[in-house]
Amino acid sequence: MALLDIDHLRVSFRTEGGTVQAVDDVSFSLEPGEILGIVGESGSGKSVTAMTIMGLTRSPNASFAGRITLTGPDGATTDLLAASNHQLESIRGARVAMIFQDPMTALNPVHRVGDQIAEQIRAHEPVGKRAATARAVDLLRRVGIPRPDERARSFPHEFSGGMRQRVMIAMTLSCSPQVLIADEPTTALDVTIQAQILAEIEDLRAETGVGVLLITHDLGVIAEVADRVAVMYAGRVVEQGDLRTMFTDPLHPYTWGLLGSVPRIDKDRPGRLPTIPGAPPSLQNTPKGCHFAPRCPHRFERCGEVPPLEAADATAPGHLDRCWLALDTKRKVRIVNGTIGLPAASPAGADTAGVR
Amino acid sequence: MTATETGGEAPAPAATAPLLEIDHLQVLFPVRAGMLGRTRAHVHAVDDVTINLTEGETLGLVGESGCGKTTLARTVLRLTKPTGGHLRFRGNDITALGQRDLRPFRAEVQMVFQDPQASLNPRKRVGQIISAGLALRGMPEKDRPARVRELLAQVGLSPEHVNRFPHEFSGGQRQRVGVARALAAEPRLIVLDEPVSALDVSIQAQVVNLLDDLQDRLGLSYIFVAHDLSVVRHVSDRIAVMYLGKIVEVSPAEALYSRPIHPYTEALLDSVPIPDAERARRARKPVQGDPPSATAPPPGCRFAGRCPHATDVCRRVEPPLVAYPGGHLAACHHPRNVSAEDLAAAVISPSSPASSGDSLPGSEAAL
Amino acid sequence: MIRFVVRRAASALGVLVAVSILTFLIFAAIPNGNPALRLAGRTASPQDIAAVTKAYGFNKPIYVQYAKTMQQVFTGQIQSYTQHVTVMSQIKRGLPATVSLAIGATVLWLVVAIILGLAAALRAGSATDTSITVLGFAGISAPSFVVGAILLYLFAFKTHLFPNGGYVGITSGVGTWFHHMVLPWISLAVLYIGIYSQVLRSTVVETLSEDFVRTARAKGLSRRRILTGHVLRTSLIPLVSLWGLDFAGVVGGGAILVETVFNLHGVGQYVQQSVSALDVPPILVTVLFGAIFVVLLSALVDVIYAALDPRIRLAA
Repeated sequence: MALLDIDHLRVSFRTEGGTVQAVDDVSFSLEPGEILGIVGESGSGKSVTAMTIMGLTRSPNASFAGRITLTGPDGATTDLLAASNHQLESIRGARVAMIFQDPMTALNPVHRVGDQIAEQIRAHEPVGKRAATARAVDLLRRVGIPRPDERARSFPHEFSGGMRQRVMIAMTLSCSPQVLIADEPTTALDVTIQAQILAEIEDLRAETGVGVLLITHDLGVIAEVADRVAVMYAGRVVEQGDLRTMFTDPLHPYTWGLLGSVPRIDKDRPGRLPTIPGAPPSLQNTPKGCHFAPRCPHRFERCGEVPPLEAADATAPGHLDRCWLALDTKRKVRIVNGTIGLPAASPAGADTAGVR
Repeated sequence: MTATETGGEAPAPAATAPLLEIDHLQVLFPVRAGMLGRTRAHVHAVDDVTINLTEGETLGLVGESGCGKTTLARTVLRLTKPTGGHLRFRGNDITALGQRDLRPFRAEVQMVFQDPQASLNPRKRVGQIISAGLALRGMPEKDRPARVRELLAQVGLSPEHVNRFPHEFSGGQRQRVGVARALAAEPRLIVLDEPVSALDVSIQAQVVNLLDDLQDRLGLSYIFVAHDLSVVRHVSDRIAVMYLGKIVEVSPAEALYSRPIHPYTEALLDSVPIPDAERARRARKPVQGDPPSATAPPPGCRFAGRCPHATDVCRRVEPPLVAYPGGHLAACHHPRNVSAEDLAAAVISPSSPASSGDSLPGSEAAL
Repeated sequence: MIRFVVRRAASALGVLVAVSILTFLIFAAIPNGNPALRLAGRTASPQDIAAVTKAYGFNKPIYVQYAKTMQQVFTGQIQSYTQHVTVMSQIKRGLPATVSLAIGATVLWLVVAIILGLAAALRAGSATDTSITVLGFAGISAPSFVVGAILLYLFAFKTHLFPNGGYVGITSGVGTWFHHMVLPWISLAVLYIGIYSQVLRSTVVETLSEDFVRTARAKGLSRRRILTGHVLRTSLIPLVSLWGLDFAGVVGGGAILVETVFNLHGVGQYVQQSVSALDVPPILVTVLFGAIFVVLLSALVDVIYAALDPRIRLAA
């Protein structure tokens, strides 16, 4: 059994404008000591998925389906979706911890950082205030904060953005969680600081064996630290596989488009950036069938049905995608300007004969 | 995006008169304290910066938050008043002009902001927003609706959208409206402040391509401010790297990435994550620490405290901007990626800050 | 801290001088405001009035009059023009009633407003929220003397549950004192409950959507701990500055209507009597007295603010 198993998760919210299907049949799993990157654009459902694992999306207007199974060190399983609020409170922060995007706002401005860390320890373990504070200082030292005894007494505004993100990491570590969810942990940071924080997350994984769910829109960040990748689009996982396969043999047209539209500093610059035409669909009114079909140059009739998330290539067991196109057709068409990208128009021959 | 193609690797600024001259520009913000508002210190936002922009050129401005790139961009637009130095547009000194005298200049230089949501008035229709720029050019009211439709088409929006409000558009479309508003004044120069940072990757590429097309078609000049080094490389002819209010390196775009001279540029490039499973997982050695405070910048080289190559001289003497062959300038006592011939041909650039030292790298400084 | 105190004291002095000059000028400018008319009595002849005018120096230039008055104020010798007693003694007499009113009412309005505001915010959009909002606005729009009059009618005249106004000192028994104060407290608190509960509601709703509250939830804190340790703590900050001014206003004699309706003989009622008699010395002194409280309380508010929000520095 995986450490964390997301099974056919669906999340929808009732709004004034109608029902928003934010997460639509998402399945993936996370092993201990693994970094799983979830990549997608805004509205892809990646953050909602993460927040749902933490139980942070629960509200009278939200409805859920599926299962989120967390397996404990003793093999006991808990369905986080079915857990009571009280049960969730004891799991959050202790067994599943989360780092957020904006370290400037994620810490309470009126409490000292040492107290904010100690507070979490005391919420889960029967330790005194003094012992908890001492542990907080150790944690700050461990994530590379200089003069930790002194800094524990500082307030968040007295830290730089990078240092605050280190404080957040120290806080998530405080109860030795099994799962660490990092939701765009470096997006608000400068690039040199981003490198520091990513290195910190990798070190932690190596030291503690925590399973990391890294949510980001940045394929570069994914390539640097993830072991496996899931690509999300409009509420669904459209492709997942191990890192190398995802970058060298991507099978879903959306993945091609995503890889192609990022300007690269390590390649010759193209005259024009390859783009994906159009914009993502509204989650209140998603297209029938494949959500990417309206933007896909290779769509055909069958794309009106929902393709399953399944292996197209029997030789790569963990590599799943959600597309009706046949494997050899895909491998033939996905090259643009010598690299992987979304070709502008479907070449001849990619008709129903190329369908799997 | 065209200038280097015509001008080759080394743009020849002498051939064409610069469109914009930024001449030893300084912007200090007072830090006030107490009830009487006495000035206790200054933030050195932009500290003695010199750089020119030729017609049709795209100048990329990169650096981390707090390096002064946004302040420099706003000062070029005279939205912030410089505290020292000069700004010349087409040879006219605009450093000290009052609001009234700036009016013709306002039409010539326009700005596109990072967050299209915040920079467009939510209570005005797109047509009204764009018309404001036409009014700046003195276009009679009756001619404006037709021109607004033209502009919408030009930025890839439907002319039917003229009566919509900004919130009815997606992020990418709103940024197109922002571009149309800037174009309405028929500017020669557009200052783009992080124009695609708030957009998703697939939309980002669309807007970058649009800016590219418009430049080709209208012969615009751009100052492109961004923290994303890959986007900047894609759009720029020349790139200036800023650190804590100073320009540390200026170079034709390709040369900056293939052989960065300043250790800070090298560190920046090293930190950019590359979306490629084969290339990633290199032994990463991120620069340690945070940038120092801009209220009390260290003497000498401002990067010295974080620099792996810093020596004693770096902490004492501010390095001058040195011109290497190929239009490549860098302010470092211990330049990287330069050959002996490069060093022999190097001269101190007139763009060098007044406070900098006067010795070339490789002379006594390298000892 | 010393710097803060010195700065505050200097600015307070400036405020007091400005307030006193303004008050003095207003009453000097009021037509028919010649205090000699009142001092000389109802049946005074023009000669009497002239004599009084001369004796009190009302014919002197205004700045001389001001200087003389202020000198009397600071020596505590200033007398009322209508009753020949010192103003200070009158204020001293009214102070216990006014302070009793202010402290009781403020405890009442803070406790009730925090409960209502929190309840409304936590159930934002529900029927509870709507009814609290409606009640809050009713409280804001009902004038305190109307509330007082209704309460008196219902609970004093009709049912005799509470005494029909008047103030009994706390020294003559806490129970009696309390009994006399309940209705005034409620009348005064209604307005502030309305305002404070609405302000708190909106700041709590705002705080609940803050990132650090999400962090607190992600830490696995209990709902109660999140509310008290993170939400309420931050949301109370804006209430503090409101409270400083309102409390100072009431202590400084601002509860004129409630004191008059319940005949408490407090500072506020003294103000009311002095204004209707155009009796300048008590007006001037009570205005200064109120201003001192406002200045003191706003300094206190700054200290509380700095304690609640570490981003604020007293010296800055």
